Amino acid sequence: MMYKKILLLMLALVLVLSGCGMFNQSAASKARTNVYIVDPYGNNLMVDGKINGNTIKADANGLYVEAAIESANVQLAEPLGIFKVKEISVDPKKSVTIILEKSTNKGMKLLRTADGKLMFYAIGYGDTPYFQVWLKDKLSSNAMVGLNEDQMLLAGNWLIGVGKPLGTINNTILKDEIVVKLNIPATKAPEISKFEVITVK
Amino acid sequence: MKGYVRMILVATLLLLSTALLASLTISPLWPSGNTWKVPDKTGPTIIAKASGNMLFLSRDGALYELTMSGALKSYGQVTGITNVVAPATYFTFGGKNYITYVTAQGTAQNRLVVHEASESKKATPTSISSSAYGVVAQVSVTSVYIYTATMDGTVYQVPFDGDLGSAATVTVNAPVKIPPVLSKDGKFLYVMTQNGVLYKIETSTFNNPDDVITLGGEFTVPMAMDEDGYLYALNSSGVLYKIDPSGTERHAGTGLTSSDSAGVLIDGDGSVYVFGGGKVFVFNGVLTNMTPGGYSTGQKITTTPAIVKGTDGVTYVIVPSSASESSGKITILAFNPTVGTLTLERDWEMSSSFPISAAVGVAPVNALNGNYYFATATNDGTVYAWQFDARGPYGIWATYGQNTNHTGFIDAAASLFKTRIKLIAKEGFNGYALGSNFMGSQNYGLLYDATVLNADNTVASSKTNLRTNEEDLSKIPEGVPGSQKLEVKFATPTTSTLLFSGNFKDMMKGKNPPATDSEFEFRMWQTSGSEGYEWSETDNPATLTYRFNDRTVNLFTDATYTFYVYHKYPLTGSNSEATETIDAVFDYNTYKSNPQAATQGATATLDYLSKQWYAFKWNVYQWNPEAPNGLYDYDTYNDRDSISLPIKGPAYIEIYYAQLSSTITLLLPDFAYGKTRAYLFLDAATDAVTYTIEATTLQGITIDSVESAVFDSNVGGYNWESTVTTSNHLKYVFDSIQTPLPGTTRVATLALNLSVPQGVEFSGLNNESFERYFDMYGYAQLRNQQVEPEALRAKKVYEVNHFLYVVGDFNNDFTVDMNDWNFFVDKYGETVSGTDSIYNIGPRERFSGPTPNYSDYRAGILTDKTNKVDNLDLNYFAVMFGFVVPESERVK
Repeated sequence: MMYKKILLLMLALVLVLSGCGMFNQSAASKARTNVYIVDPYGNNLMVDGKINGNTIKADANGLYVEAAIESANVQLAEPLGIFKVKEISVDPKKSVTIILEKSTNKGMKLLRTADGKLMFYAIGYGDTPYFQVWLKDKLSSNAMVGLNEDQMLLAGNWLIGVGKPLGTINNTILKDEIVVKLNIPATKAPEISKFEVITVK
Repeated sequence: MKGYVRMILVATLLLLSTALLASLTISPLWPSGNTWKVPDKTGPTIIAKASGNMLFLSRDGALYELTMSGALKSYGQVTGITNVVAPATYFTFGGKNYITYVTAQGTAQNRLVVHEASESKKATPTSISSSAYGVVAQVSVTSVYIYTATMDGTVYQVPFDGDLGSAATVTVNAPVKIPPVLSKDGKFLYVMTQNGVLYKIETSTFNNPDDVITLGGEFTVPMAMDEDGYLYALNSSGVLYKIDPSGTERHAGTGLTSSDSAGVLIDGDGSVYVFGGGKVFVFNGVLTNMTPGGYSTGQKITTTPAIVKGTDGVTYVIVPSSASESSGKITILAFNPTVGTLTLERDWEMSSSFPISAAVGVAPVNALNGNYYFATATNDGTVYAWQFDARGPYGIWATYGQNTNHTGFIDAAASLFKTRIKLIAKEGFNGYALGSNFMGSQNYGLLYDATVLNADNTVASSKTNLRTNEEDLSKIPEGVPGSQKLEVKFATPTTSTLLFSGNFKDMMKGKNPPATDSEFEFRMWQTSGSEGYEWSETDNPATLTYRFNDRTVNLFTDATYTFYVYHKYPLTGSNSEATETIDAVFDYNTYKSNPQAATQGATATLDYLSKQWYAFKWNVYQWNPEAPNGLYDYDTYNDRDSISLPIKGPAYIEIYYAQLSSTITLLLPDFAYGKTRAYLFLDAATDAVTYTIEATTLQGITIDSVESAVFDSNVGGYNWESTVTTSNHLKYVFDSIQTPLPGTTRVATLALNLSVPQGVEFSGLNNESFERYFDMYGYAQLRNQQVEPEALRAKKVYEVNHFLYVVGDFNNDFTVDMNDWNFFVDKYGETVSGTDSIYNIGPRERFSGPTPNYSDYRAGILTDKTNKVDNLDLNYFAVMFGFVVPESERVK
């Protein structure tokens, strides 16, 4: 009888401890190295790719790979458009920082931010006050951003455009270097299908 | 009027209406009155027979029949009989009628007697060892067994085959002062001794009585048995026992101080009635007193009452009582189980007392019209009988000896009280009962075969090809509640003519319209509610239980209705007409939760004899017994290629065609309010030579302008004669004969700016509804076309396009982009009017943005009255920004 009681007690103990995750060694042992992809304007981006074969992922704490990285072999799968990688620095087992720089003096690009939104870049269009770009992918919501006293950006559905301003605008974003974070959730950076200049009579 | 006066009036009216609604209509049974004294005879038993004739057995063994014609027939007297105490029992065997009874006489030899109830005056007595109080008669086709038990503890089983045979006996070792009870299946006889020991005796062997249970007290009044075989016995101290013959019991004090001389009764709802000390109480099946106050007659209840059910739905109990040898009364009490009362309905005083033998009898005078009567008698030989609007005995044991014949067990064969189960077949769309009112006197309802089954599942009777929804009560099989069941089986669908008959058929066109238009067949039972079937909804055959009240049970049908379509073309000869029949099937199981979803389409034949036609007029007649004309709905439709009708009945459809020379199409947005863009097209057929477009706006809608008018170069480009006569009318004519069109051509496209004074939702409207707002006319004359005046017009088509108006698309390029934004910004903050009103785009009702799919877009209706372009408008623009109407959806 006593033998049975001891057996039952042990069984209960095993069940309780397993519920606490004590035996869940695999989850506890996963390594994490933070990843920072930074555009020339200091914005943290999310770009699909791998570091030493480990997929770059994102969560609430930012980008990371599930590996202890001591030296980084970075392969970005997503086109960077008007940017290119300038520098990769590694703090062993802690972080990998990828610094981007402009690769051209004129162009447009949409990229995702590390917190799951969108960055819109229009570089070198200072001589084109009003324009719009049609997207291949539909935006999940819409956004309006006053750029400067002469320009306003609208984004929604399949379009991002820059046109006349509305109301008082305090931003001073340069016409020739429009860099705007759009509060539009995205799991993929939409591709641009067509650029149109808007003329005003 | 003062408040209290009004209250008194209302209360009085309520009381009066209650009294009127809940009362028995009672009248004397005989033309001569309600009494009939048989000379020189006393202490009788009355056997109430169907039709109103009754048997009268005097205490000294003289048998008479009192007939409704007023004749008193004497059936003789058995010698040596001096004291019959318990009621006699009546049975029929070998085509002859008998009563049987036992004596309880002090000095002379006691007897069990079988006395033929006829003027042949044959009676056969046999001796029994002591006084006895009641018999049981078990009758089959081949034999009769009579049971009794005596005060010296002897139980008799006496066979009878026209003569009494040798008795088998067993002893129960104590006096028995009440009649035995036979089990429902006849296999066991239950005998309660005076000192409370219940014995069970197997009737097939009739030996070794089994001592089932011993109860407390003395038992001197008859027991009752319920449908489940429980016995109810009342002792002389007023304790009521409910006994399971397997050997258990429960009991309750009734509040009675004695048991008087009346047996326990059970009504059709299972309520148990006990009588004693002049009082009446009613208990439920678990022996809870339902009538705490009971009812006191103030006299001893000296014989067993009877329970009946009034046509008013009230349960009544008829209670004879005696105050002294020369004083008695009959009291009719109304039982209200809801409030727990027994209230006085009627009473009559008598100048004599009621003997134990004169248990109240109830039988039909004319069961078909619902007239029953009750009868009892006083010690001085006077019979009392009334007919009334009540039926009975109402209950599994609602009179002495269970049934009017007093056979002493749950005896379907002896019961004169039968009930009916009325089956009501209904169609599923509206739930109309398929009665003769809709279907005629020949083919109403559904055909079914019926078998009445006894408790042992032997067949009592059977009939074929009965009809549900039967009004003739004689055609509804009756059964004995508590023991018989009704098995019904549906096999043959019922065909009927609901619409295509009489004057309507005379009106129908085409050769040989169908003779029948509807077919119904059983699908399932209603299984809920008071008119539901008690088992599985798809049972067929199905077994239904007879209850103590007539039942109505509903069932639902699948229906197949004929849609008879007559096509009329403007041709000569036999080609001018064509007909077709469409079977519209209402599958009850599919549509039972949403009958309105049951629809059947009818389609015009537009390609006929190698020519194109259009159906410019539809006349549709569909069966609807609730229509003002009592037979059908009538609707007309114009310019439809097809229609959809509810599957609610047969339909007759006339379609009139014209040769398709042109189509005039009005294209509208799904919502319109204020300035609204619309398009008008005229498409003409090959060989067309002249053209007309005409439109009138109604309901206050105006034509502000014709934005553009584009005409095909084949018909003169822009060289049409045109007239916009008023703000609500336009007309374009081209009647200079040109070269016939080489093919179907859109000859005119007009872009209209309408003004709609009140919001209108065009989406979902049918042609007839559109025509409340627009009166269109178009025409294209074909070369060599022979045209009937009625067909001298284009086919009219109304279309709705969700993208005719795109919120935020100010330059009408089907996109909402930065060009529109730049326009909008210029007007932001302004109060706009005229052409600038387009910038006032919000707020809107029923607006839906193009998310997640472009097809979700709905412009809705502008509700803003300020005409100010502000933040509310900006919100709508932001939602629409970046939207592009797909090429396929753009109006060209």
